[in-house]
Amino acid sequence: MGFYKTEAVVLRNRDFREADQLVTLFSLDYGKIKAVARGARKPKSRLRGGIQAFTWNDLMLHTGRNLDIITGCDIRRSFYFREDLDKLTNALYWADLLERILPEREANPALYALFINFLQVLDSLPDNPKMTDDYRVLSHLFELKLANLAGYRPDLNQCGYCQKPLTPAKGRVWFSLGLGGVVCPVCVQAPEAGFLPLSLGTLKIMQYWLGMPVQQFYRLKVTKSNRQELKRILPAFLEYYLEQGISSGKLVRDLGDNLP
Amino acid sequence: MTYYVGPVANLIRELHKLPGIGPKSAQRLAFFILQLPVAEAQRLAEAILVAREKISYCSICGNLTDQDPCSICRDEARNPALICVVEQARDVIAIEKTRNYRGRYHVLQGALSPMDGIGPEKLRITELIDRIQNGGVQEVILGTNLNPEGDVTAMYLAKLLKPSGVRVTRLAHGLPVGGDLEYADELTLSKSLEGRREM
Repeated sequence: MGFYKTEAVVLRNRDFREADQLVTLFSLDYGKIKAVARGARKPKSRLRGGIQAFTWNDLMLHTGRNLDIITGCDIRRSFYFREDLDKLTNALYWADLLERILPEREANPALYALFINFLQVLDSLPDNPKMTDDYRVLSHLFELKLANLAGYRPDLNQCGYCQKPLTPAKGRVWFSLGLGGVVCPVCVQAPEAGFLPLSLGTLKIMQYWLGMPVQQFYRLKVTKSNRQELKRILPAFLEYYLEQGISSGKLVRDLGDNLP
Repeated sequence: MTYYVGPVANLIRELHKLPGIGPKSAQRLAFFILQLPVAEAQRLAEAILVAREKISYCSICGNLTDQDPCSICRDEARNPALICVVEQARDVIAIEKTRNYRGRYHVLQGALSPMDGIGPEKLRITELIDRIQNGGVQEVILGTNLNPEGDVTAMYLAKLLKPSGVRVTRLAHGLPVGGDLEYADELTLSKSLEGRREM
């Protein structure tokens, strides 16, 4: 392919060889790319600013034998969240989810736009230590929207067994990890492994979230019990379909809980 | 590997475990060692063994040392009220090279990294809190790296240490010596503006 250009957000960079960095990018045109930024750890490197995590760039790349080489970058905006622990850890969690869920070199423009949207919303929120819970809600919204756009949209409208639409009469339904959606209380009556209890209130939030623009996330009231249900269901749902444990999410939540 | 006689194959395998050493480099190093005079090879082997056996972590600061406590923790001329927290023992060397710092250190032996599953319990954070609770510490300088992991660690420690009443500071960030304004990212540049100095 030789030289090519694309816009991308940096998900992660790590040290590579003597003075290089290996950068994981989420690009608009090529999806997830791993590329080398040569000499990026030297103080005079021109690439250094552009390859920090959460920097949104116009990039020039060159096809290499194994890994592509970043030859130039022009920063559109750097989201860094250096000043707020909750913002930074939640953003790191999103980047980790994307790094795990995205296949290499498969464009997903809708998910790309969503990620940038989320970074912009996170950046626009005030740095405030009292907002820990709001950031968690935002992370759950990201989990659901990510699942949707990555091809794992949960079925929240009809029962996974009897296929009948859910009737709003009963106070509680089940969320089945294996069926990838809700199950009505007629089909499953007692708790079973892989079925997580889901209140109608939380279900409504999830249904609404699927179609809601990210910017409106604070408009919907999410109570503490809603939050607990979302925390039980959404990370487990992603782990089930990715077939791997995602330790970063738990770590990010624990980090907040352990502070005075 | 079957082309090599046992001891050679073994040597290549061991060298291959070193960071940055691929199979070809391992072979080259192995053949170099095989050509050395026996006494020279002996010295190399001893140097590795002695370093590995004698060097341990300082029980106070976590730095690499051959005596416990390490020379910096034992040095009476160094200010015990000032602790600089760094990620790795090699960061201590980097700060020592400035010859500008006369306090003590605390090596965390890593940084918080949610993506790699490294939480607070895997770092020497309780040891740091113990040191501060034992009294006498006035200021903690957070000298973790300026990348996401280092920043998470610094903000976490700042929140953790603030209630104890010590002064918590962070190393400044801005333009590097020899840096180009044109290629600096906005954040670095805005930090340099904030931290500008009277001339």
